[in-house]
Amino acid sequence: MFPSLLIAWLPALTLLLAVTLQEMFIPLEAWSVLRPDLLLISLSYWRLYRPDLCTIPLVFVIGLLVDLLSGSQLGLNAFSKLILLLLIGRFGRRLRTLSFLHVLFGILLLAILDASLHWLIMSLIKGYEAHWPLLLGRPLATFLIAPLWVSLLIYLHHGWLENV
Amino acid sequence: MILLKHPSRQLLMVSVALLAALLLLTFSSNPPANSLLQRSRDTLQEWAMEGISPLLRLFQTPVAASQSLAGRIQGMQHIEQENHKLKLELDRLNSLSVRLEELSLENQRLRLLLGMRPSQSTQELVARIIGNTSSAFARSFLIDAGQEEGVNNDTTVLGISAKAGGGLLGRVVQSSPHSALILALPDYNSRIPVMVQRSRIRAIVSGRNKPLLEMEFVPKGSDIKPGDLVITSGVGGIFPKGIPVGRIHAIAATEETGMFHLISVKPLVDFDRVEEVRLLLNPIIESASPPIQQTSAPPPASATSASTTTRHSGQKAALAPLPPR
Repeated sequence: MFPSLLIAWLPALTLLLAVTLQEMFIPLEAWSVLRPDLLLISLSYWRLYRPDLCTIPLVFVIGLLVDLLSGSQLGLNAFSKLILLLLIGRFGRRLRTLSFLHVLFGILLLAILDASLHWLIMSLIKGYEAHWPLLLGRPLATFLIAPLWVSLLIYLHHGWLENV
Repeated sequence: MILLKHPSRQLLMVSVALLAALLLLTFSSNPPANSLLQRSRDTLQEWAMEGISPLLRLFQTPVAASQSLAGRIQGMQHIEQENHKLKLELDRLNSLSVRLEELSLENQRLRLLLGMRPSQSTQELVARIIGNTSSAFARSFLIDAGQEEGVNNDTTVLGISAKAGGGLLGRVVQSSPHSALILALPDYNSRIPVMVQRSRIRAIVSGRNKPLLEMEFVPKGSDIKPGDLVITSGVGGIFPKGIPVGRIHAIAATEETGMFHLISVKPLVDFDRVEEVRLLLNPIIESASPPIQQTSAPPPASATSASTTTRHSGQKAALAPLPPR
C-alpha cells in the first residue's frame, strides 16, 4: 500500500504520465496529426471530480512543462489550461450531474477552445499561421481517446483515492 | 480544501497564475540572449528535458522494438532481391569511394598550394528520437543524446532513415546532459541560409509550420527551376556548407510577391517518419591528410570536402579531436 501522502499525488503523477505519453515519438504521420491531448483530459477529469488534488499551481507548472518541452512560447499552455480551468470551475457542477457522454462532448469543446486559444495567442504575438490539420486533428483525437483515458482515471480515482 | 471553501481566494489564485502566464507570454517572446529570463528559461528547459527523457526512453522502447520487428518482417519478404541490389550498389560505391578519396586528397593539396584554409572534418553521432514535442505552432523533437555525448546548441542535425530520406532536419536549440531538443526545419523559428546547387543562387529557407518550406529573397528572373536541389550555403556559420535541404517544389511570381519569387521547397526528410538522426558535432580543423578512422559507408552528400567519423549515442567514448596524420 502506498502511504496516503503519496496517493494524494496520484493526480499529479497522471498529469506527468499524460504529458510523457502525448509527447512520445511514434514514426507515423497519423500520430503527428491525431495526437490526443491526454493532459487536457486528465486536467478536466481531476478538476471536475477531485479539484482539491489538482490545484491551480499544479496546473500552471504542468502547462509550463509542456511549453518548455515543446520549445514553444513560454506561458502558452499555462495560460490556456488556466482559462479552461476557470471554465470547468464555472460549469463543473452542472457537468457533474450530466451523463458521461455529455462530459465527453464537454472535453471536445474544451479541446477545441484550447486549440483556438493557442491559435489566437500565437497569431497575435508572433503572427503565425496555424497548421490546420494539426490544430483540428488534436481535439478530434482527444475526443476519441477520452473514454479510454477517463476509464483509467476512474479506476485510479475509485481504487486509490476514495479515502483520501 | 481551504481554497475550495473560499471561492474568492481561489479566484485570486487563478488571477495571479493567469497574470504570471500572460507576463511570461509577453516577455518571453523575444528576450535578449543573455537576459535573466532567457537564462532561467534555458535552465528550466534543461531540467524539464533531463527529467522527462528517461520516461520517454522507457516508453519508446516497445515502440522501437515493434518498429524494428515490423521492419524485419517486411524486409524478409524482399531480402534476396534487396541483397542483390545492395551488392550492385556496394560495387558502385566502392569505386566511387576510391575516386572520392583521391579527389579529396587532390583538393587538399590544391588548397595548400592556393594558401586556402584547410577544410574541416566533423565527428558524427547517431541518436534516436525519443520525443515528438511538435504542436500546431512548433515543430521540434527530443533526442537521446546530450552534452555528455558532445551535443551543444546549434549542432547540425540530419535525418538518416532510408524511408524518411536523408538531409538536413534542423539544429539543436537546447541540450541537457542526456538529451537535446531539435528545432526542425518546418518550425516558424527556423531560418536556414541556403543556395541552389545548380545555379548557386543564395537565399533563406524558412519554416511555415507546414509540410513545405518557403524560400525567401530570390529575385524575379533568377535561374531557378522546379526540382533543383537546395543545399546549405554555409553563411552564418551554424550549418556547414553543402548539406542537402530539399528540392524546389513550385515557383510563383505574382504582383503580390513584389520583386521576389514565391518559392516552396519540399524537404528531403520526411519529418513524420524519421526515427534516427545524425548529429554533426563541432567541426575540427583538419590537417593536409585525412583522419585515421573513416566511416565504411559512403560520405553523405552533406560532407562535401569534409571527412567524418560516426558513433552511436550509446557509445560513451570521450570526444577527442581526430589526430592529424
